[in-house]
Amino acid sequence: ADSGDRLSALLEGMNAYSANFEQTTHDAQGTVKQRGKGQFILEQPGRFRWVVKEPFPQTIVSDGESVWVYDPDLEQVSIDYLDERAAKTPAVLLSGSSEEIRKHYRISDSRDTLKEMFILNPKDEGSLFTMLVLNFVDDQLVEMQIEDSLGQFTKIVFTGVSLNPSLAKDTFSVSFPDYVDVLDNRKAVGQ
Amino acid sequence: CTSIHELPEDSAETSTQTPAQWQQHLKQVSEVKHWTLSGKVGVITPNQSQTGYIDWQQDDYDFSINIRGTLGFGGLDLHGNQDLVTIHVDENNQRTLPTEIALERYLDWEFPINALKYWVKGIPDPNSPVTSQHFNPSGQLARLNQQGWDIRLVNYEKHKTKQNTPIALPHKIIARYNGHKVSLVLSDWTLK
Repeated sequence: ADSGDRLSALLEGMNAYSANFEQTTHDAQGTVKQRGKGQFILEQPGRFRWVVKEPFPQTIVSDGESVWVYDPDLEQVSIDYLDERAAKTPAVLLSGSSEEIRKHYRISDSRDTLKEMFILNPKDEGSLFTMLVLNFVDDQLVEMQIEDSLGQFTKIVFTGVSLNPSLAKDTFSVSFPDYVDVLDNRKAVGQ
Repeated sequence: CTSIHELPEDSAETSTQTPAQWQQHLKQVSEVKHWTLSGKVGVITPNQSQTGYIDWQQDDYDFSINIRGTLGFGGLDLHGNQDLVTIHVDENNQRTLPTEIALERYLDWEFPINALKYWVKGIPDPNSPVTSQHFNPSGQLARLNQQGWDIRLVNYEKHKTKQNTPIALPHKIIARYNGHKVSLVLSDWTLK
């Protein structure tokens, strides 16, 4: 099977996945610019909850059709269609179908005794990152690496992975106070 | 989860009466010309909204600002002074523009760098008139109207200047200007 098929099989195996994550971002000179922590819950197809707890809370939720990005401190929520966000949020990629991934990325893979590594290079010009790497150990996603056009490098390590977790009813929805500014970009797309 | 009718934390009462220690505070904060701040920034325009992390270093009139997406990518670097700024989006893509209009021209963001460098310190921009200002019970600037912007300043915390004098600086700034919004939440200040 080519790398695309193998990656799709692994992602499909993640049809219900939850993990904690730790994120570190280095600039092109290698100095640490950012550290963060949070939790990621995924339920195929297309539903996920990406919660950053530190340094500032942020909740990104997709119900399979739309994606909410809520920043409580900034008093700001933006709503987009899921496929509009594809190039912007890797989490969307993990919940996407394999054809979606193949459409947007050239995929190659390499394997050593410990892990299977998939390297994704975006085909479309507008993508904000230049390379995305997904590492699997025993068929489970354990690490994601993202490099952008400024040479900034982000590593996200997943721990405490559980497959088919029991999910609260409101896992894929978000509520916020009414003083928060809401920017619903879906209207702009002309429903 | 959050109750729907919560009010933002700064809706406590403010007064337009200038506090006694305001002139002294204004002088002390204005003398702080070398600083760095880091935190999170949100920008809303009539047709787009962005959030990301921000590092801003100011040395007298020179500044360098790095803004990057919350997952580290999708950022930009700005280096310049109050007249000109160079914007880098990637290695071979950079533009130099007048600072006053740079981000408006380049990203359709209303992000007035020259005025913001004062507002983030909790003081008005000395180069233009103040339309109105309100103070919180501790005598700090809570709300400012200047250059058509309506600015809320919240969560003041004590910091030490180079000469070891304590000054209070805001850790949350929400600025609005006809359909545009810039919000900054700061994790730390370093005063050099």
